[in-house]
Amino acid sequence: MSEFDQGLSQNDSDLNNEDHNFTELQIVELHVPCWRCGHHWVAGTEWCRHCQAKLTKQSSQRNEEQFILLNGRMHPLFVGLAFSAAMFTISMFMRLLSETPYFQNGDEVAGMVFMGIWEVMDFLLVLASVLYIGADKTCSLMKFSKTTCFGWAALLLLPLIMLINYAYHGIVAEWIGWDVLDFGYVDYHNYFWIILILYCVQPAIVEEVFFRGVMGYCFETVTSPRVSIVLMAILFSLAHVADPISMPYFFFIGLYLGLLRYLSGGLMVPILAHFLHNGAVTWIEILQQ
Amino acid sequence: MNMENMTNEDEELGSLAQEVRKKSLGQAKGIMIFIGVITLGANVFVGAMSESLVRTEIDKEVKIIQNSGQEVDMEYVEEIVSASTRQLQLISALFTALGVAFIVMGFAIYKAPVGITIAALILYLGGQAITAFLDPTMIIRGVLIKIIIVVLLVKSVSAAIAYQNEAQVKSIV
Repeated sequence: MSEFDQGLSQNDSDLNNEDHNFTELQIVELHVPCWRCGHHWVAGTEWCRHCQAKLTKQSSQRNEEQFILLNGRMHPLFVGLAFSAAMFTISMFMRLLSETPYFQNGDEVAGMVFMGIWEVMDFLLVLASVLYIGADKTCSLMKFSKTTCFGWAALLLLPLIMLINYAYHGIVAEWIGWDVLDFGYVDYHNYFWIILILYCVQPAIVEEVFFRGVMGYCFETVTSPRVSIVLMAILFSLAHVADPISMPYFFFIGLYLGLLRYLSGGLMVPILAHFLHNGAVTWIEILQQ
Repeated sequence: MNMENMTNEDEELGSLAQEVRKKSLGQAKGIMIFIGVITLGANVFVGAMSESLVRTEIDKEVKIIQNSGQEVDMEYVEEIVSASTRQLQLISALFTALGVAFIVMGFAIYKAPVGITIAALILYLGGQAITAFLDPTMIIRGVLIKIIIVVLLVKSVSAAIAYQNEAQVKSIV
């Protein structure tokens, strides 16, 4: 038996003998990462379950110091916030670009190429965040079979959400004096399939994977699902800075989609809800044309 | 005997560490209330003065156009003034709500320390970015204070997580 194995069995016996009461309790993981390996500590133990590092006063202090940068890897919370900041920056940059005379007076194709570039940048950013956090954490949520009946039931609230959408934007349009939902240069009839992908399919998948999947995981490492829903909604509304007047509504729908994420136990229902929401808005635009 | 001393020492150090975290949260509370009051005050002022602010800016533009020899449709100008004033009032109302949210979060920080400190950090950075987006000169104004506020908020997030973990351990043990 190697020294390391002897150490392991010694630690196990220490745990079993000295913390006898604890072994009878349910194992509770803390949100404090081990200073050596980064795995979470178990409440009531002095040893890391993964690498057997001892939690001393010094290492406990070190845990807090190394919270932001842990063993050369950032804490998931700060990784998530950094990716959100990048998405926010892209959104602001593209909004500024869209206000240049070229895109204001440009043709439909130029407008759609612009939208396409924006969507591709978002997609690549979200893909990077999924790979950095760990693809398994998001992929495990992408199963219809795991969806609960509460999730499907909550989907029935979508018409009410749509009603709130049009009521809010109607009141704002009345107050300001211009149509805030006017998308301008888009010809829905000639470019239906491209618009379906750019406005409905891509945002539904990419935004849900990022805000409800990646960010949901990042927030869950430090806080409860309820607080996570609110934080995800705040980030979701900030990411839509390109449309500042609609940000309160984006916060509201962010709460609804976050609720769907936790009620359904996965990402498939929020993706479906997001797709149906954007699809309904696009369909109403087509009818108006 | 030795073990007992060690345990007492641990507990004392633990409560000391918790006191330090509480102090950091108290600091965050002060910052949030400060940001909230400043945001609230500034935006109530802008909301109240919105028409004169918009009119001053549009009058400048009109004078430039008139000086270049072009005619200006004053009826259309009045329409623009009215729409821009309402838009400014709406944005001021949103930022006023943000100010109120900061004050409420400041007072409620001990109820949900982690969530509130993260929300404060996100909202502060988001609010600053939107302000910079609306007026790029705002990036430079008070940049040092902004950096200090962000650093203190990041530290308070870390303190809040440690504070919550310690509280969890105490409730389990």
